[in-house]
Amino acid sequence: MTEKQKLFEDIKIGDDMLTMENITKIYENGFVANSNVNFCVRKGEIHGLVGENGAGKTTLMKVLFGQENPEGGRILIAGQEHKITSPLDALDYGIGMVHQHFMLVDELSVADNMALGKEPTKGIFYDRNEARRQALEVSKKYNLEVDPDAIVGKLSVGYKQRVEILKILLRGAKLLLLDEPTAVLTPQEIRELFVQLKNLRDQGFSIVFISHKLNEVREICDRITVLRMGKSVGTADIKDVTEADISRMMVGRDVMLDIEKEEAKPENVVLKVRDLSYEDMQGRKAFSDISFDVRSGEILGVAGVEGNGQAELADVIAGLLPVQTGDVCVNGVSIKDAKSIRDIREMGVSLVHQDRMIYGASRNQSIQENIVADRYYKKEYTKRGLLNWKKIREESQEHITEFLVKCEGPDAPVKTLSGGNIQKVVAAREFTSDPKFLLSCHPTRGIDVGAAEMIRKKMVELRDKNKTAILLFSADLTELLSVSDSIFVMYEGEIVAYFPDAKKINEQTLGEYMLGLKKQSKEETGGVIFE
Amino acid sequence: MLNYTFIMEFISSILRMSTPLILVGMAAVIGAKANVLCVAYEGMMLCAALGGVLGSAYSHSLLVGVLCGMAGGIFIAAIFAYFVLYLDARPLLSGLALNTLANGGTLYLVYLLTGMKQNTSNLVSLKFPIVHIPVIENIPVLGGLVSGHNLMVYIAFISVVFVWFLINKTSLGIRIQAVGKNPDAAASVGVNVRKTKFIALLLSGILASFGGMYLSMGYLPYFTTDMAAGRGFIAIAAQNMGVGNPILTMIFSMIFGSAMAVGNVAQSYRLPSQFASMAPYLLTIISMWIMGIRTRKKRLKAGRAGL
Amino acid sequence: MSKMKSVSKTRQIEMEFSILRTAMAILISLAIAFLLIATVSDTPVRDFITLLVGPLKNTSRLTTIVSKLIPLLFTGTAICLVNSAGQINIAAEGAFFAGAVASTAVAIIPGIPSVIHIPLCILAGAAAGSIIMGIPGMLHVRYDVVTIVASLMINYVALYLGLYIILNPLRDPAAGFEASYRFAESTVLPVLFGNSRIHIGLILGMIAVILGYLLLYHTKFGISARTIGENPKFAVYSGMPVGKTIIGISLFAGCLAGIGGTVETLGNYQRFMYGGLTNHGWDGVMLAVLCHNKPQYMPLAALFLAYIRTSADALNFTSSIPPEIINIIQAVIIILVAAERFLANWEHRTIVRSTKREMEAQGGVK
Repeated sequence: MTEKQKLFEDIKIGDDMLTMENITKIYENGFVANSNVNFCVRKGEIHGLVGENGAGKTTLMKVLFGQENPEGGRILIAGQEHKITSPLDALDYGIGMVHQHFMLVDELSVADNMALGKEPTKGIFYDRNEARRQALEVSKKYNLEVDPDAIVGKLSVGYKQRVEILKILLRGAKLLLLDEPTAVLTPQEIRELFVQLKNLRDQGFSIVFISHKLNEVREICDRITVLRMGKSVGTADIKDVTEADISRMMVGRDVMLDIEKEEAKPENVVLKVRDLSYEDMQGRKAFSDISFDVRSGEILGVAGVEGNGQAELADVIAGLLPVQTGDVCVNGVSIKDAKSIRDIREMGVSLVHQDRMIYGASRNQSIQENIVADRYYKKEYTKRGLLNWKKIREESQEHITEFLVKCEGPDAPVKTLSGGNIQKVVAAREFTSDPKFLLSCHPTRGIDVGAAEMIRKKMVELRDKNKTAILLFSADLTELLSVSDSIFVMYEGEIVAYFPDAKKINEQTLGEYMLGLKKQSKEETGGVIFE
Repeated sequence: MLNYTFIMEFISSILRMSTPLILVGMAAVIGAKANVLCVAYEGMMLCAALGGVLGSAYSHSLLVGVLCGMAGGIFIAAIFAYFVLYLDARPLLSGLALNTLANGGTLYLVYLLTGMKQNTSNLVSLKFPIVHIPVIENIPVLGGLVSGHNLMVYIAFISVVFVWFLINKTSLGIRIQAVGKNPDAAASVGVNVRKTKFIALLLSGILASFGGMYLSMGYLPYFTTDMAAGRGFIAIAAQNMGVGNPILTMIFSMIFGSAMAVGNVAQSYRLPSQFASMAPYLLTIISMWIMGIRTRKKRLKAGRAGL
Repeated sequence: MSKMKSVSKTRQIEMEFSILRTAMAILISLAIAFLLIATVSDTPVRDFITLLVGPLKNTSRLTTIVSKLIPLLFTGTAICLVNSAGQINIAAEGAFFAGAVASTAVAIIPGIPSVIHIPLCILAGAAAGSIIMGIPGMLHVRYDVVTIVASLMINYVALYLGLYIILNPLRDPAAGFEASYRFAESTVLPVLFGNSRIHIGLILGMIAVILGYLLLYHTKFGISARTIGENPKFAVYSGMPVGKTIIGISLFAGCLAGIGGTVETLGNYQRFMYGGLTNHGWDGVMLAVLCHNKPQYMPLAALFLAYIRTSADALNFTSSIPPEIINIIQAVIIILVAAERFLANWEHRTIVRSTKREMEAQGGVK
């Protein structure tokens, strides 16, 4: 045992073992992920770190694990300040992290993965038997069963997670940081994981459990700390708070300027989704039997905690993922027969993907090329067989002016713009193609208030002037409530609630459905079907 | 025509043709395990081939020759590794450039030291010895098969065992695999990713050196211009076909070597040798195609996101 | 406004450093060349000068530069095209060879008038070339085959298949050496200036460069190709025809490489005499790097390569220095240009300094 690891050893169960004080983390692009966050873990507890997406939970844990260096604040162990500068350093102190994306080498066996970095040797050879022995020993000791010879790539997600936990236990971790460990698991696996975690706690380990699923937090955590928008809202004993309390702390009540908009006047159904299900490559059901309609001239919002099937639903509608069962129709034409996404776009569909730097823009290309990416092939942009750059430039300049993109001009590469301006470029493309249906996924995530405001207004404008049917996915509930005309909620791959009038509900109600505390009847959710 | 001598001669011809391919194939296996796209094996072979000849010619010592040869291969491997790992140079271009450098550099050295412009046939350099295995060499058939080959032929097969052990049975091997497959995972437990890849490439350089030295100190008794003749690329193909497994890679190297041997025989019977020469390459393309048909099904399920 | 200004300043510095990197690479390689020459030559200064300006000494050498330049225009542009679409397809080597073989097969047919015969040869070369470069592209799109390996392999298939055709059905037993039948008189490429060896291949090569440039930057096909090269996922999501574009651009690039092989063979020889691959494809790969895949710079880059190659010949002619020394120079240039982080620290410091200065200047105004 190293000097550093002894620090944790000497602390008594129930005492504070590690404190993070006034942690501030600012990323290179100026995004403040943590601002004066305070956080304290006691020995022998499971501590829930909860908050919405982007609240700064993962960043805080990365700071603790030495992967990010904070701009301010300090870390105290047993009352003494310590610097943790690298993951190796963190492991030396006995802090181990299980990332959302597992740090495992698929091609190697369980024992090899656990030994990596400090492989036992016999002479010049790697002592695989010793590695296997160690793996079995730690596996038996903590009652987490694994086969040391299994190849990691062939294991289920839950199994891999067990290997990850054992890997850091083998390295002597006493404080385990688990970043949304349940996000990728099936309900059975989650139950199993919880039993294992409680076991570890009873043996004196401390666990930080990152989550935004309240029922889970309630079930397993002793105390919780809530983060909102990069700040710590507070820490509480789980016994002293109700789920409604937590939900209020998470969501907050930041009042946003209401978007001025008229009552929607919905007309015919444009997007029709029927009995749609999707199972990913690993056989996990992302969502099942989803049916709803979006009518022209209305904005239908989709609420839900991330990971409840919304991302996959959006990708299936966009044609990025295949329609496995059920159907998606635009103005009565199924997208199943589309040979490419262009065929779908040709039906009058516009698509804003949630991941703007991957699917929404090409950073090394110019703004004008990004703006015409969905339409450059049309006749009007060609003159005598060649592209009509003059027209493209003029039109792009118009869109740049209309959407207030701050840039040097249509020729500037997209990578020279800020996040908000890049999203404006995406909007300048997707909102200007006279869409019949607009799929808008997290259109304002991570961008500045001004740009967000403008994009929201433009959506309402499309609804009114263009009679576009809009499906809006958003994690920002205030945005969802102010922009949408009606809303449905997804939980565990199903529609659990439908509110025909978004004005009549508030964040708390929405939160209760999003977190699975309440569920509407089939009749009520069926209200989202009009044909 | 198909008498005993002919068959024995043919088999030893296969071994001669396969030996450099196996050695460089093993170099490619290590490079692939570390996940570095290295095409500089031609360059490593050339430098090693020349190094071996010059070293042994001037020192009259085989050992010095071998050391010089290895130095030649390592020289190219080290430049490649430094540029790719530390200066973020694009590996494909660096590899191609180093092949060109080796081509020009070896000829320059040949000219500088011997005054010749094409080869070193005026130098008295040493060759690897022929190994006669006692007892076995007297057994009929088996003796002819196993005994009486150039030392490097045996080393080639030993190198397969060596690489297999290295990858599967040493901690360096485990680390090479880890940095190749998931560098983040390796880094998260304190493995130095660049250093590990650097070491892997140097080992690659040593193995490729032996392949190169065989050409100038066994297959031929002197160095001649561009004597690697695409063998570095065939070895990459063999590695690709063998999906990074040393034993499969050896088998494919031997298949490609056999194709070359058949080509030689065909030529001596005035038959078109080109088809035999083409076989290894065509074989690779067809096998990749067949493998692709299988993965295609999977991809269709993943939809357009898989692209 | 101030933020935008600093962005454009940064871009300017980045561009300056990109030029500086290339210039430094050339300088360093010339320095190395001088050292190498000094070690083998009794008259190093004279020989070094020959290396620098030798090709300018007489018209015959000037002609040599141009005739070395012609094939490079074709293969270089071909590689620019496939690289722009994100395809590491180095089958231009094989396509060049296949183009030469296919046009040979047409060129030995007697009795066709020139006006028809030459276009026929070019057509044959273009077709053969596009098959060779198209196959790796097609295998990649349809079957996820790694383009670089497939294209590496197909080069050799093209070589041996070509050699078989040349040395069997097309072989002239009367030639006394391994070569095809003589090309028909009607396939002699028209010469541009008097008796020089500069044939219309130069014009065709320039057309290839212009076509490549127009295709990439002035057609809808080019937008999709470059977008696929930059961000294939974005290309898919905005509806671009990814598969078709990749196959299409590979076929077209092959066309160019094949025509390159055709004009090189018909323009310089009376029969097909290659015994192996010609290295023009590899040269194309290096040129494309120097040009950052922009065909509009290809004439300049190809001229540079042709120039130093001619220098090497001149050196070989006037001294006993082996011409391969030029390969070293070429390699050093390429590897230094390819090294993204070569001079990166200096560049980064310059950008930081400039940004700071600007911030101070604005502070002063306030």
